[in-house]
Amino acid sequence: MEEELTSLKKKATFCDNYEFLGHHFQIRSDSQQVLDEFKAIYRHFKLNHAPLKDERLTCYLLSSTPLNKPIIIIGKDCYPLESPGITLNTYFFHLIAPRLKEYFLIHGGVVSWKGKGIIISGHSTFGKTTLIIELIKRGFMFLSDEVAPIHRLSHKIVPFPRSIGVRRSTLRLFKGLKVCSNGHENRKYMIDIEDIYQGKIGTSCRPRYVIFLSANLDKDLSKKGDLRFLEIALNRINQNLVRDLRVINGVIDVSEVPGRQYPVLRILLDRKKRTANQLKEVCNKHKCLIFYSIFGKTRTPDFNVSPILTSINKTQGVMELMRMILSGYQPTMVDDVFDGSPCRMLMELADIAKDIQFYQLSMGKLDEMGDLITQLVSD
Amino acid sequence: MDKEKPCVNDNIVCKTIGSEKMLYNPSTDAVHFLNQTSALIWELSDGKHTLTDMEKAIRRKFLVPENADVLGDIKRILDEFQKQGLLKDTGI
Repeated sequence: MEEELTSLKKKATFCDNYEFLGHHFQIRSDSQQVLDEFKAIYRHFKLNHAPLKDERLTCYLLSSTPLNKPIIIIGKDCYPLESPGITLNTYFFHLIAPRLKEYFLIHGGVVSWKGKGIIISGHSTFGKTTLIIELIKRGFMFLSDEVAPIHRLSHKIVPFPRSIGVRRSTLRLFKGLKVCSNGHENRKYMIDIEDIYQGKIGTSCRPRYVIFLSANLDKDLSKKGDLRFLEIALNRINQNLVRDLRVINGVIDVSEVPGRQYPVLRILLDRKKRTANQLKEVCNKHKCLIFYSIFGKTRTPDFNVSPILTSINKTQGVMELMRMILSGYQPTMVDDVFDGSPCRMLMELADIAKDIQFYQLSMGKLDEMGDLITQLVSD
Repeated sequence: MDKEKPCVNDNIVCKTIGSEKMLYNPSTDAVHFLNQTSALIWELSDGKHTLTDMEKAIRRKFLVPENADVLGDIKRILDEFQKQGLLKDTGI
């Protein structure tokens, strides 16, 4: 296997250098097109010089392999792309995220208003990006569309201006727009914020607001008596994974959710049994990467109703942040950074959350959501 | 008992988050969330306040009805603090 990997690596003759949150990476590929697409998405992170060999990690994005599928090689580990819905670019960040231990990485978009950071988090179908763009139109600064990196020591959000992924319906809102990547990224089009609104990338700032987007404020449909649903999005699914998940004590049923951009399993759980660690262990055993996990069936929001903004108490907000970090980019953070103590991680998050106000925003008409957020930060 | 002056365990890490407090006990690796009433009792567990002092403070702050058994609640909360290792042994 090692010989095969070495042979594949030799074909990666194209290369560029990048810096992500203080970490240097050399990206090598066998395809100039792959490198160009990567550059289009991460253009604000590209370095004009090559970091010293000792100070960088080399990652290989290989499009043509004997496996007949693209693969990423980082160190000695090889990650084939199993699903056409997942691109090398998305996969890449999920793979390097656990190395970025100086940060809490929260899945969500970030804007700022007069130096106050606002994190907006929600399921990928909730129109988060469209809302972010609406706020930028109103004068907010853009920091990120996909991830909110909060530095654990300074407690500041650091900008992560990756290109924004928008669906065709959102793309139509911007005439004459230059597209970085044509619908390869999970059926979204990638556009750079500077190409829509020049000079709108913000600077590091402290988070002051976290807004959780929800479909509506109806009763929690995730609970069905003593049972509840968990949805997990993975890089791949196979029958052995499903078989091993089904035998976990507390798992009642496992089924694949059809029609999603990438593989999603819906798992019916006994609420009284603790299953989280075992679920992760089984996924690790099968080398399946968890992109996110969420309780409850996801519902498509109704964007024609009036949105509602409600405040959430800080304790609940902190718990939700912790859940998002552990079910998103940094599932092993408790073990890797906090010596297996979730309480220590919670206390550190509580420090960051001291100056944050937490809200839930049930989705609705875009301009009204923009009004609510603008009013909130202006008060 | 009402004249005893409970005192917090020095090893407990306390963070105020909004109107609540979070207490972390390193020896048990447990986090405890205190609501406003428990948080006030915690603040007054400084080795200087008796249970009677605590009762007066709670009645004043939360406008508690006269017939409410505040002292009983205080004792229950302090019992729980003791059980969780949050107080010094000489507390109550």
